[in-house]
Amino acid sequence: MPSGKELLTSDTTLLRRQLASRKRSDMLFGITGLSFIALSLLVLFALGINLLVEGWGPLWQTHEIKSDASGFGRRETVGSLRKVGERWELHLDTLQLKSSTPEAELEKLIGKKVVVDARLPRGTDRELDAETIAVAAPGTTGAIIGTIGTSMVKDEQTREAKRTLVIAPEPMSIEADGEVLAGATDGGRYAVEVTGKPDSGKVGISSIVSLVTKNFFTSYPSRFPQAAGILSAWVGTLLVMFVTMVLAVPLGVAAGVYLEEYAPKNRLTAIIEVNIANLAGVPSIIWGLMALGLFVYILDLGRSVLTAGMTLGLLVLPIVIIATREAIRSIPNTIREAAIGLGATKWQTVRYHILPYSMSGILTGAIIAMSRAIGETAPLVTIGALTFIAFLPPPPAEYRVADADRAAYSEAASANADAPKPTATLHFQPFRWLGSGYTVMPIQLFQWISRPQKAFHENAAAAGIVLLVMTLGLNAVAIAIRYRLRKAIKW
Amino acid sequence: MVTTPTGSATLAPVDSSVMLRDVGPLKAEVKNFSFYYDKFRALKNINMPIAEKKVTALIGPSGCGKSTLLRSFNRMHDLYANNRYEGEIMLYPEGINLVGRELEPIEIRMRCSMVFQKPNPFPKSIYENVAYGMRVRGISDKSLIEHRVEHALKGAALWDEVKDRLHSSGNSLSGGQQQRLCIARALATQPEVLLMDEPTAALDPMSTSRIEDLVTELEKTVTIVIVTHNMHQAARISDHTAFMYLGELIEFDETEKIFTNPSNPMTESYVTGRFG
Repeated sequence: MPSGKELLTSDTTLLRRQLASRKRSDMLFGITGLSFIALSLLVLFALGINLLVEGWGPLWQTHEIKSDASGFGRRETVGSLRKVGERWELHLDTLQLKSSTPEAELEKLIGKKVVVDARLPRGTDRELDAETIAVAAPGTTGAIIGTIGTSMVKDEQTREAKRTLVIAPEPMSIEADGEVLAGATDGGRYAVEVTGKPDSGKVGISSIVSLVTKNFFTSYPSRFPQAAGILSAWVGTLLVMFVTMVLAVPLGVAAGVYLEEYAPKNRLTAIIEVNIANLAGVPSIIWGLMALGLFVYILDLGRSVLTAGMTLGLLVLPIVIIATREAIRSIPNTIREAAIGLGATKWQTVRYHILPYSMSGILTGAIIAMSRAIGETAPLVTIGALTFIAFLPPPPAEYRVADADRAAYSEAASANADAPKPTATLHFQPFRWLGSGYTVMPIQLFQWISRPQKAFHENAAAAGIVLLVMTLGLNAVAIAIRYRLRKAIKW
Repeated sequence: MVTTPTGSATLAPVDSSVMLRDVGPLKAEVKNFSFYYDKFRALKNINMPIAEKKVTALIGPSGCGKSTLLRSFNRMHDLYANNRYEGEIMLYPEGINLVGRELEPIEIRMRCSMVFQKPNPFPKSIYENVAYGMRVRGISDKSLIEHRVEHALKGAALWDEVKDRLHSSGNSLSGGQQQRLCIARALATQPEVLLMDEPTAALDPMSTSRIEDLVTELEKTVTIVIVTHNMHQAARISDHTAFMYLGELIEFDETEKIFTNPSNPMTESYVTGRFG
């Protein structure tokens, strides 16, 4: 390599040689960068494909929701079981029955009332009546199809017999495959699963199984991987994100604006500034610990959507503040001076100039914050997110029987079976969901991945795809808003 | 009253008490005014009159404090911490002290509008740019705003060029047009004093000449204080000129006198281009 004075030469060959050497470094850097990017893309592609291959199946698979036939739980007298010729008939007073045992036992039940403990399709009242059943399965006001006795499964430990009776317009097969004996059918028919203890003499139908096919997005988690879905998880994620956004974005933007436009520049604000940057780097589990102490124990807000939203809101608040400040700082001082020079107050300047012009930057920060929050698992585990929930937070308004009416009814009904049923009324409860238990996508994902069955791992992959799409969807919305805002402001 | 020492050989600033005092009806008057950026004293005991409906030019080399003085007129320095005024800038006819602590800076800014060196239209429509001064005052009468916008744009000699695209962005205009838009914006609220901080520094000669014509036109209705680096510009458009150097007012006189027969040798070497 030439050095010193030689570099200051007018010799063109030497100059060209030097130039060639300098350009080589240029090219080397270019090639290195390109290959790194190519490698990253390749790895990313492989990971994505792997996720898709694994998760694609469960994502689109539809399956019957199967009964959890959980034995003798809540029971209500719903109708009577009768043998007519060679067939059993189920005569429903209300919706459900409870019964079954070996044939001999069933025979004793003829003419008697049976009780059913059922999981009902959403939106129906627990106390369905015979009419509802008739609507659900046209023309089947009680015909029981199937040969009783052939599909019985005995559990040696509980000495429980299970049997499935299907009420349907046409005969169908009843398979004995482990836990569930419901025949496959669709179109909103109902199967009735009957359980009972053979020697107790008691007979009950433990559940009514909806055979409406459902899919991954509209099913609750289940111990059967094929039946498990992410309904509670994605709803929980959306609700928690909503709370997080409502708390973190206005607070963060206001703090950013204050620090940038209003706060005096002194030692205190300098300390605050440094510490906000530090807070952005605090491990999320620490936030979880602090939130557990403050929100769950001291403020007693419980393990609720609200607690989760507040925790994640705090977690991402520094990100929003920093992004807001950066966005505001990028506005040239001349704009402030122009506005102030025309006699605008500080707030008028902020409201009509600073905020609108920095909105795209602020939104970007808010998206980054939301993307961070949507994937957080550790703090939510710490503050007690549930891992297995088969319910949704209560909607802001719903038709239901008031608790007091229900209590009064059950009291009245115990004395007089013909007591008038309470009527359902519309209840507004706009904030009740905030206090509800919840789970979120990453936690559901983690719960599945930590199970041994491969089928659950596939579910986890499918949930991963959904989580990714949710994040990308959020980003897409924000990019669209940003694009519109940018177009409106021409620098 | 006109006591200007002639032929003085000293390089020291002329004693301000012997400078030109009688400039006709006064719009403002700077009295024993000093300004501090924290501990740095940027302006030292300035005394000068601002004549009503005349153009007063502030000239001097970079860092002499002319912009600092101009920005004191509408309290721009209040935006930044640790700035301090000392002395008085009186605004007539009431005789209120512009830099007085008791006076609300926003009120002053509504009376003394500022045009900056670099055209700084808001990234909004031409119409909204001009209307903004009225909007911040809470004026919402649409016809009044429309009338004033048109009047201001005409006053800034921009109306004919933009009347068909009032709702396109202020930034879609050329540099010279943007500066005239900024002037229109400053005029829309009908200020008493128009402060111009090197308004043509970022413009080409054609645009510069249009702004200069405009200043001459505006002089009939508003008092103008203009900071300029361009001595020919000061000579062309101003009635009075103040030469400043290192935070001090070296000489203040009628423009013609400053450029043809300055009292102070420093002024002479500056206006003849020997330094600065």
